[in-house]
Amino acid sequence: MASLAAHLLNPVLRFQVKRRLARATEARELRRAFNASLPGPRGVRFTAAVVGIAGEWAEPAAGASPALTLLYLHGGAYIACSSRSHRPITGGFARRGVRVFAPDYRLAPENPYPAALEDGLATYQALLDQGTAPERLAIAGDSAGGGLALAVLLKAKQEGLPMPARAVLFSPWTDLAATGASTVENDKRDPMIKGSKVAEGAEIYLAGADPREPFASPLYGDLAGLPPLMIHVGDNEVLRDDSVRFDATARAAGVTSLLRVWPVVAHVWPMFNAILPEGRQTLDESAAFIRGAVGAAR
Amino acid sequence: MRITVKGKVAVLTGAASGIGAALARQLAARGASLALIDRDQDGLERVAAEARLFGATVSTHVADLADPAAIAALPDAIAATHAAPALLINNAGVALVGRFDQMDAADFDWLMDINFWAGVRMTRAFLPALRRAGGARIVFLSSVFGIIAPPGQCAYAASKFAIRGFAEALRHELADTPIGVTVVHPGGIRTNIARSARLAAGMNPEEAAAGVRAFETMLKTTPEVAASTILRGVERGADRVLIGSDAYAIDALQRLMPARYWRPMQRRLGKLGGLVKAPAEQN
Repeated sequence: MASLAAHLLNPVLRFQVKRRLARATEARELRRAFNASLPGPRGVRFTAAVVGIAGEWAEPAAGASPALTLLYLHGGAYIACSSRSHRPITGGFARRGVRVFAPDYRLAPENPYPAALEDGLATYQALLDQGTAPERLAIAGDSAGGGLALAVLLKAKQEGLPMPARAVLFSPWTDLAATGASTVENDKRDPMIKGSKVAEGAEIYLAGADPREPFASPLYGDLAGLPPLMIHVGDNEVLRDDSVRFDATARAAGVTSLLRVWPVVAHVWPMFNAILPEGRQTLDESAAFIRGAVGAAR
Repeated sequence: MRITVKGKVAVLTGAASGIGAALARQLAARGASLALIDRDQDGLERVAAEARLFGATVSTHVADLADPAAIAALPDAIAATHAAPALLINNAGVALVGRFDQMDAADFDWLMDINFWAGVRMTRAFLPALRRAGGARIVFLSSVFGIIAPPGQCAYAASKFAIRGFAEALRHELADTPIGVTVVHPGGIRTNIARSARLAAGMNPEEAAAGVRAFETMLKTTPEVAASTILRGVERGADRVLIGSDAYAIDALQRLMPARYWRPMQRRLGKLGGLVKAPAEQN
């Protein structure tokens, strides 16, 4: 059952985020609504670096360097947030034995599609060029960053690059055409996002591009050959069906996909893992899934 | 007795689907090694492949738990891959739809073999190995129908009350040993146990299908949530685990009305309650 913390957090998000997001029509307002600055966890070293493009590494402050590398793409509707805003997640992975690079890919409306895709792919290519073995490399992302992670995989596949060992997605935005039934069904239930906002946000990123273009909406891509996926989504999210349909489509294409649908929790709840047991459990399972790429569980 | 799951060997029955499949994935994510048992080989291999993605050591054992000889052979088969197990989860269960007077004796026996006797036989088979593990825990999946007994569930409720009785007595016997016993009472979990239920011989299939559909609307909790609730209970060393707000409501109602709990429940269930009640002229 959902934790008490999850039930208590939702009304706060409704007031702090959903209300502001619903009123926001410009990128500036969206950025303000999204940019909560949550503290990063202790025991993690954050280092600015350029890997293809600028971003930051999150690594355990003590002990040996982890055997696994994760490319993490932050969410924020392709408009807001940064590697820094998502430290609760990147740092959370670092604490669980994975070194993480989070690039600050270019954002819309200043840099619409395909700028983010190009930057994500450049980072993936740079990690491979640095000598990171694909079997020790994973990719992950939340919300828009989750859709972007999947788009980067599709683009990498098209360009003949090797696939990473694992992909982890938190509430990924896979359908910019916003055709999921949950955008309507969960419009009121979702504590963070109104269903009508999904298509609105997509227009800013797409800037005229087709919302069914697979490198913007990976749900419409050819998913065969993707690495094993783990997808986490909240049952009450307007984006629930972006995960449910992606999981079904991936499995139909012969991809191994583990879908976890969590009750009560809000969009990208691992951000709140400092106070949310579900957030910690999601990060625990996701890190174990990534570490599983090198065999024996630890 | 509290045990952490990490690094331990877990033996799990009914692992190919439903709560069992979710338990397998989550045990693997928590760093356990797994011996997975089911009669559905394809499902078992699929779940095992998913568990291995977490780096877990997994063995699979195709066995019909209605067969005592198959159960007796399991400890040796599992010892070939694993150290002594610290966790035995008796999860496998089947359902039988229909009134007592519509039910074949053979169907009743089949259900008791799997829901009750398999738990007893698994315990008998694995108790020596569990003692060797140092700290261990045996988990039995009862049901809310191990707390209340609705009409149409004669065999199922009998099996779930029986396994609860066995488990609670066993817990008290093992009180001075490092082996704990957890009894789990799930409410409605979204699994296919109702859809794959055997129909009582004398039951009209259309009537049964309507009953199953009505029943499925009450299945609120997902298998993943059930599995994480069970594992939290295991790590906490809980004697009793209720799953879902419906289970808590049923538990409270039974305490309030120990014998007459069915009346208020039937009013809420409507069609489903009527389906399994014997027509008045037959009374």
